[in-house]
Amino acid sequence: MKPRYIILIVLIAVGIAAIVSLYGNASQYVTFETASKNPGKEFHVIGELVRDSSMKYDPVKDPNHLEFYLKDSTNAISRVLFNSPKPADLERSEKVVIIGKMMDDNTFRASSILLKCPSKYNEGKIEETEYNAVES
Amino acid sequence: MKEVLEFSGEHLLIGNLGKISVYLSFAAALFTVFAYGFATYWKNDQEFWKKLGRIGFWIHGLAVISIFTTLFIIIQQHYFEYQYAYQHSSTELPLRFMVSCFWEGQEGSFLLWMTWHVVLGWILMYRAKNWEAPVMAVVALAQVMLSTMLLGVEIAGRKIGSSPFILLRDEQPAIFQLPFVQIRGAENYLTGITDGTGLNPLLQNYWMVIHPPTLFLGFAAAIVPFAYALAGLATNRLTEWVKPALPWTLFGVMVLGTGIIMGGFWAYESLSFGGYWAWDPVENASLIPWLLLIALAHTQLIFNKTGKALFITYILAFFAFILVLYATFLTRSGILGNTSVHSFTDLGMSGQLLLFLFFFIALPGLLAFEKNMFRWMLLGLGLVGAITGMAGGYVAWVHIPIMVLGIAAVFYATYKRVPSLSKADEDLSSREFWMFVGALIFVISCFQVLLNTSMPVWNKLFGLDKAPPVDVVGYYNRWQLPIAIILGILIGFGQLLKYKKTDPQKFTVVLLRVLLVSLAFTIVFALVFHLQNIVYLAFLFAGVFAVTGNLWYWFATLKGKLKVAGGSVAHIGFGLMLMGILSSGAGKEVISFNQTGMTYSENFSEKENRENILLWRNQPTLMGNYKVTYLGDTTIAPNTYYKVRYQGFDRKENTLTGDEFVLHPNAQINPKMGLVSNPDTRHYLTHDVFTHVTQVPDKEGTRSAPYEQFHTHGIRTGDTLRLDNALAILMFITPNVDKAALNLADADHVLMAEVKVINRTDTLFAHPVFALKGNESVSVQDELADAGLRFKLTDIETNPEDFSATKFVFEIAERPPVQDYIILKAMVFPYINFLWGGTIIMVIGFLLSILDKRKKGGKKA
Repeated sequence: MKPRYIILIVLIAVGIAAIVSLYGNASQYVTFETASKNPGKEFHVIGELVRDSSMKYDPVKDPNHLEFYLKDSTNAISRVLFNSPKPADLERSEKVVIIGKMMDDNTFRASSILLKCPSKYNEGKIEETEYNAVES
Repeated sequence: MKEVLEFSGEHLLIGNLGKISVYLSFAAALFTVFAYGFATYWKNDQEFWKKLGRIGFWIHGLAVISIFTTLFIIIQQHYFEYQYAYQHSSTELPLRFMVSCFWEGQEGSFLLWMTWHVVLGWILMYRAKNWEAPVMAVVALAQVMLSTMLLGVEIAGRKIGSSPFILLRDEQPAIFQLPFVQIRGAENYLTGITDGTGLNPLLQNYWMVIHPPTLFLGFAAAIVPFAYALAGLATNRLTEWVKPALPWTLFGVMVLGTGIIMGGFWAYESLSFGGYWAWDPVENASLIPWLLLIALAHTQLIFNKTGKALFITYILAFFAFILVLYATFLTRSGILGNTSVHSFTDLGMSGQLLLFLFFFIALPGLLAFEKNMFRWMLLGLGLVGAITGMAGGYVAWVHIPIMVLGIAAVFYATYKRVPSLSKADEDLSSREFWMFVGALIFVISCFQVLLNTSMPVWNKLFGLDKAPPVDVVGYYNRWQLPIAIILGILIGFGQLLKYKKTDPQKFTVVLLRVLLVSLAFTIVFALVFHLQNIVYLAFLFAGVFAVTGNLWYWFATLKGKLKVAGGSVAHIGFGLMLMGILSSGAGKEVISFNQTGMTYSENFSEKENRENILLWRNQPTLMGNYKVTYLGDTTIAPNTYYKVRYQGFDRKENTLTGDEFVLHPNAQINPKMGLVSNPDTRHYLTHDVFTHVTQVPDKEGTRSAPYEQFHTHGIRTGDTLRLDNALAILMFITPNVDKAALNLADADHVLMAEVKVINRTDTLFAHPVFALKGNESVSVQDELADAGLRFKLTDIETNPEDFSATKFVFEIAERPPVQDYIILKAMVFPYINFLWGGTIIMVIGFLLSILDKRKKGGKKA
């Protein structure tokens, strides 16, 4: 077989592998219910911050511990833990995307938080900021 | 809104001048396309049409410069009646950042891109010689496309482009409802708009002034090889274009690469994520065309030397430019939505962008097909795509087949048209074979990044709801790390081979020597970088091997001559970059591990989640090999700078090493963006210490908090009071008081107490005063605002028997003290200078190459 055909076959194989791998590795936007059914598996959950006094962040006790409640699109509420400092604009966020997994104690452990806030620079438009707990 | 004819204080002339320039630039570009088009196809009047084309492009270029200048004047003169100035600048902005306002908005970045096309066009006009007409026709075509992005006119209810000269009152009529406008009258609305909303603080950075222009120059350069390839098809000079286009491809690779790395350096210096690359879609969008341009430069070289790889050269020249357009579509259409932190919002131009994308995909096919029937079929296909795209956005069952057919047509038509000069089989011992493999690996790398970055597009097209992989960076690295290893190895031995055929014996001898030297250095660097992981070792070897192989070639074969060593130097730079990526990435170490609060979250023991540490002011904490102390803050509006002292500390000897420096990470409590934190980094030759503030307490909030009730305490001199947040010690009582200063000149007796207050961060003194005027007692309280304490001395209970037992009665009120701490994250990046140094060397290599190829191209052209 000529080298050019070998190259072509390898090229196509790697291309297909990239597509399959992306499909397999892609995460999903789910609700807390789905996340609870698959504890330990990582998902994206979109929700709104529950605005009462349930948010806990005391940097003097532990600067890497944030606790809050999030209401997903089906109005299901779950406790969320984030082992990092509190994103400064969490309270004014309109939407919060949390990336992480549901733990056995029905607490969602977020490894990364994406905030969508009313933007200063594009009036009336939404702006996003990302916060990560785990450095990679 | 009331009907008002004149608004006072507006500068409408300049905006109109800008608008007219936009229309003129559009019309002149269109004219240039036709003039140069005729010059290409009508051989008889060629010179006449060429002359017209030049005139057209000169007018177009001057019009673009006029748009650029007017917009800059509007920003620089603070004409806030224009939406662009209002939205992207403010009066307090220094001149050097005003340029950044330019590219914060979409219109400005399109304008920047256009301006670079004009500059490149001017050079091509006088340098391209007999390629001028067809090449300039393509450049002008791109200018037609870009100028429509700035038109801002409505045709049949559809907005075409977005003008940067829109007035604030037109765009946001709500300003006429504002109270002050109601009072002062609509015609005076501008008197109340004295400042703009300002530039995003993250963009107020030196690198942000030069990074976007560099990046866009790189994007703009991608049009040149594209135009040359099309010119080859249009004039049936199918092989001759490759040589004169090569310096331009190299120029594009160099400039785009510089732009990308500048973006990385900006992220490293001023963003707080702690790194220079995050595989963010917007970063990827600039990387994608760069990878193809590199592949293109290599296949062009192969063709020039051996006459092989012409077909793929065409394909790469087409798609490098098409992917620049696609990248623009990705970042500017708002489709990235959930996946990117960069906020480019949709200006409603995605339909328009899609239309141009379809057009420029179809264009190579149109020129490559020799049968008119195929051309009409392709045109029809494009038209369907364009109409549905303009009408309804993304329609899966229409756009997927059109896209696939359109791209297939480009491949098919080019394959049929392009001659195959060399029918001989590939020789595995030839340099061109392995260069070709290397080029294809760059294509694979590009494909993988493209595929993943396009996730939102797949979601739209296929109606999916997929999110990016949870660990995006890890996912990309799993793919790109092995690719980089293979590339490093190819680069290492590729240069040692000869074109066409290599003598295997000579090659084996040289290869063995290079391998041995590389292995030795790999071991040395593995020890220096503290690497054990087998993948990292392979990566390190690839980098070292790339450097050694090319050094060897440069000195043994090229005899150390610099002029012809462009390729080797660029490869050495690339190898050093790989080493830097490895040493700083694999060796990156967070030193700010938190030790408090273990009880609070004991169920989570993973240490990577304890990366932020709380530092009380003046309390030294050991972090890595440093004793770190937060010394206080200074506010230089709008930023607050936190002074953090690092003292080198030897953990074994338990002593300070004498190495000492102070970092000033800053944070801006932006009213609308929250905490915007900028890191500060100490650069050493061998490593960087990177520090940024992740959270600060709300000091103003606690300073205005109310006090609790006064409590009474009777104490003697020397006694210590245990208060809620501090210790208070009564030091002494003295009658030596400046009465006048306290307005107590007429008092009979005045006594002042000195109370020493020790809290977590400070030692302070309070001086409450007690006075007697006849029978009336007066007490002057003293407040320690930051400590949250108020002292009053209200009575003295003397003990006639023992004077030292005299009790002084204090009333003390408390509130929570201002907590002076910062939460910070600190990291060490070892040997990151390999990355920056490698980049610079790579750029020098490209520069040498361009000079060399330009000379060689010039001789024959």
